Amino acid sequence: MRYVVLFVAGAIALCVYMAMCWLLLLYVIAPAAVVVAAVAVAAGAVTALVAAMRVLWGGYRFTSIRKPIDVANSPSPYVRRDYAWPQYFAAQVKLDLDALLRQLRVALAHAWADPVKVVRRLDYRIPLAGWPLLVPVLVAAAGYTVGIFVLAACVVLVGGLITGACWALGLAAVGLLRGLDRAWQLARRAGGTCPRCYEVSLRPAYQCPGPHPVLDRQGQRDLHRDLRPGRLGVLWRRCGCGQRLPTTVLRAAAKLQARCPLCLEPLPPGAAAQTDVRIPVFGAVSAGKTHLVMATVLAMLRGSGVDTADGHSARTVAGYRSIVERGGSAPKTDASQPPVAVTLELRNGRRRAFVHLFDAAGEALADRDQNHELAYLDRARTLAFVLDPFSIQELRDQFGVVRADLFTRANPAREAPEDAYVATVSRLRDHGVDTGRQRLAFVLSKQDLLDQLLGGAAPPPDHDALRGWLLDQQLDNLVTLAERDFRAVRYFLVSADRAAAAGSVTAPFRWLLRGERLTLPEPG
Amino acid sequence: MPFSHRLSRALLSVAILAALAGAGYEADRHGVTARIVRLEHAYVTAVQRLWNR
Repeated sequence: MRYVVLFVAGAIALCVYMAMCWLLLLYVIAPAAVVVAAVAVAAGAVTALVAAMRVLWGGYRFTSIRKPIDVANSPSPYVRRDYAWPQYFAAQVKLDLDALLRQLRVALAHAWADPVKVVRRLDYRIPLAGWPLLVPVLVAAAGYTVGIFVLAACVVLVGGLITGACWALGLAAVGLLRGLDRAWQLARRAGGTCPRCYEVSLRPAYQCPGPHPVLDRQGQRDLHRDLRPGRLGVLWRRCGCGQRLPTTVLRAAAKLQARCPLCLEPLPPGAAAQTDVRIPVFGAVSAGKTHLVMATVLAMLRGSGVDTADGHSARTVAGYRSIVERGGSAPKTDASQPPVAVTLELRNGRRRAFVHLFDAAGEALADRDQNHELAYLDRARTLAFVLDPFSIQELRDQFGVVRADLFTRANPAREAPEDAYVATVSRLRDHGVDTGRQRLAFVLSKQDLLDQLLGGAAPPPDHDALRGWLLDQQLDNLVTLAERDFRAVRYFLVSADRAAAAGSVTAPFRWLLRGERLTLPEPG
Repeated sequence: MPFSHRLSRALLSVAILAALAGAGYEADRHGVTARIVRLEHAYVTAVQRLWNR
């Protein structure tokens, strides 16, 4: 009987409890839950908005910042990246989004885990009995989550749209600026030729003039190897030192010190943005190459608007001048040394151009092991071949004995003209150079001595007459080879010794430069 | 951090706030706010009726 009473009392208590719960749910919890849900959604939205603004206004100190050092140290097997700040929309916007999501993850973790912690600390009978009271808590957490998700989605959508628009505009601008840069270089036939290693670069390295510490300079952090518009800046880039640098080779060439990307030798101002003409002079040993280059350079420098472009060339020219003043002959070019390179800067009105004359020793040109290193030959559009008329077998046979004194004075090249020609042209072919696109000035040197040798029978310095004369001297094979190998060949007869008076020594180079749409000023 | 980054962030934050304000304005213009107010009013009335029963 006692058990029956207890059972009935328990059943009544359970019914009362269930009725209380039902009333609580219906009249208190349900109306409250709606209000709580609305407030929680708003709170979640405010949380997400505040988190976004904290990141964007710099109030969240755990935001990762992609710094220039990170860019420079970023692993890439192909490129060495420059020490500069990346564009905000290229990298930092992603890190800012990560910082926002990190904050929201923490907020959501607290929203769900904190109530659980509080309930766990209570005696288990309290939540068991007062479970209806947990419903608003659950609703609050869910509402808070919804609020965060909705506003985070809005922030990501707006940020994504703006980032996408910036990328679209940036890519268009980058393509346009790079295209303009390249088009200018193609139209102007621009390039940057290194006076030390002869590398021709379309994108030289540029030195930042900003306040870099010594360690930065030692680690070449002050060098920007790719200043084209890109992820480090479209119109400008900010160096790691804080200095603002112009992008595009055209603008950088006017303001920054260019350096060879391989050996870091300084390039003349305007390198890679101005016309760049490389004229290698080749021929047999003692054909008169150095004499020709020396006389040409000195004659060109007498013209207005022509000057040496760098210190190295100025020193070489000073050496040439002292030889001429002493009345001496050009020393034999040392085959063990790198070729002599003289760079002249021409100014034709607003147009500027660099003309590089390369003079390598005849032995180096003939030797396959040595001429392999003469990389400047590969990038030349114009060449000058020097032929010593005293090395022509026909003349030797005819006058070698009777005019031995003249032959001694001429110090004729011992190598056959054809051998000297073939050695260099084969080297060009071996390195994949299409000589069919190059122009060749075929220069017969020692005109003064040839006039003395032949008197009235000497050939006139005229293209057709010279060609005919060479054919008469049994050099038809060499003439045919040259005219077959090169796009255009023109014959010249010059005397370096008469250069001061006549200025005719510059004629081959004047013709070569005309092909580059450059006019060489007349010597003053 | 360079000025351009700070400027970009400021522009981004202004754009987000403007987008939210714009969304709110558009919602108000299309009667969404009024509908929410009407729903709230109906809900309060229903709760009052429930209590009064």
